[in-house]
Amino acid sequence: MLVTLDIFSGMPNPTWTLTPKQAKDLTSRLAGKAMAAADATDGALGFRGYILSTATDDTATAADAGLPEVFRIPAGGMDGFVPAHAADLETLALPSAQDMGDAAEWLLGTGGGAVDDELLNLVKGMMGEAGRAPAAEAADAAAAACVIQNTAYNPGFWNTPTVQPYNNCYNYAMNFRSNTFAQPGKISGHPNSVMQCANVSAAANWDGCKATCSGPNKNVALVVWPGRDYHWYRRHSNGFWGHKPGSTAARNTDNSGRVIGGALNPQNCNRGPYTSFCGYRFSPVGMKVS
Amino acid sequence: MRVTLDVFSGRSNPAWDLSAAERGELAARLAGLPPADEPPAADGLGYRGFVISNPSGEGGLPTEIRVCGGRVSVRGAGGEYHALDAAGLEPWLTEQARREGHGDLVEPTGW
Repeated sequence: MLVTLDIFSGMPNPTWTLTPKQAKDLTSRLAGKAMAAADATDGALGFRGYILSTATDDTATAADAGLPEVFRIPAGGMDGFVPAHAADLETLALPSAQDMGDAAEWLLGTGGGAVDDELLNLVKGMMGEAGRAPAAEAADAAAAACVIQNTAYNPGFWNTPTVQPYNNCYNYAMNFRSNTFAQPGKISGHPNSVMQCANVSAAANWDGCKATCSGPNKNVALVVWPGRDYHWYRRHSNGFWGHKPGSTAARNTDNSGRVIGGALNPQNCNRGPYTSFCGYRFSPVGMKVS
Repeated sequence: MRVTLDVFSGRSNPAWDLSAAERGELAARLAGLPPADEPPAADGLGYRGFVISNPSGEGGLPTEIRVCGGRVSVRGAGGEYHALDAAGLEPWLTEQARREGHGDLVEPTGW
């Protein structure tokens, strides 16, 4: 497994190859987690993380663990996480900031032959500044392992005269019938009126719908009609996604009438005017909205 | 009588009330519409037409009228029927939507 330390702007980045044991260790560390796309970086000067390439003779091991051929261990935190493959978020757990920080620190320890001490110490210092999760938050995140618990598709629950008109996409995705046409942020006291990905995501985050998974959660996805509205999808244990456009009926098909499953997902299905795909998120089982 | 532009998924839909003159015009436009076999095809994400609500049956008008894609669905004391929008209900309501500041919601913009 080839490691590239993504740090320089003009000079070629340092690279080195992990030993078979190191590759196995890293694979075990990352198995079952969605990895970031190799090119997902804000391009800031300085330490930007590591790029891992499994296109070597240990590819089989990494592939068995569900790791992409090329991926990034980001410099710090999980803000703006972009998966190597969008579909990974449907089946793999999102790594925590602690996961990524631990992997980054471990990788630094493998670079001794290729990276001089001065640069190693510099990177160590930059990693400390790169926004790793605070100890308390890291402890909380580690305390509850992510368990995906998507429920079976049950449109009959939503598509009745006493439920359908009063529950929207947010009610459906979070699986909570409030009969209030729920709005992200409302139940937590952080209402939002800006229809952009970051704002709707933040409001839902306050309600409990997060970009990371801790404990039992269901997979959801957020899209936005920029400046106008938002829409949510929820993944079902049947292997496809369901959604409820406003007061219309809950369904598992997109605007072209295709079932949102298999190769079709909330990111690539026909979403009409909801042209911005904000990302996949996790809604805790039992989460309430209003 | 309340007109709702049925378009959003998360947020509440835009809505406004018909004036007395507009209620009269609505009655005129509903009269004698040719029948249709199917209700309005209003579904999915994005524009889904208009809904006129009149729960009290004010003015002897239907309690609910749905308009989309050249078809009308009318529900009232006599039951429910479907009709073709031969009287331009949808363009008339679309003009009202623009007047209310919702013109960008009724104009598809290369979705």
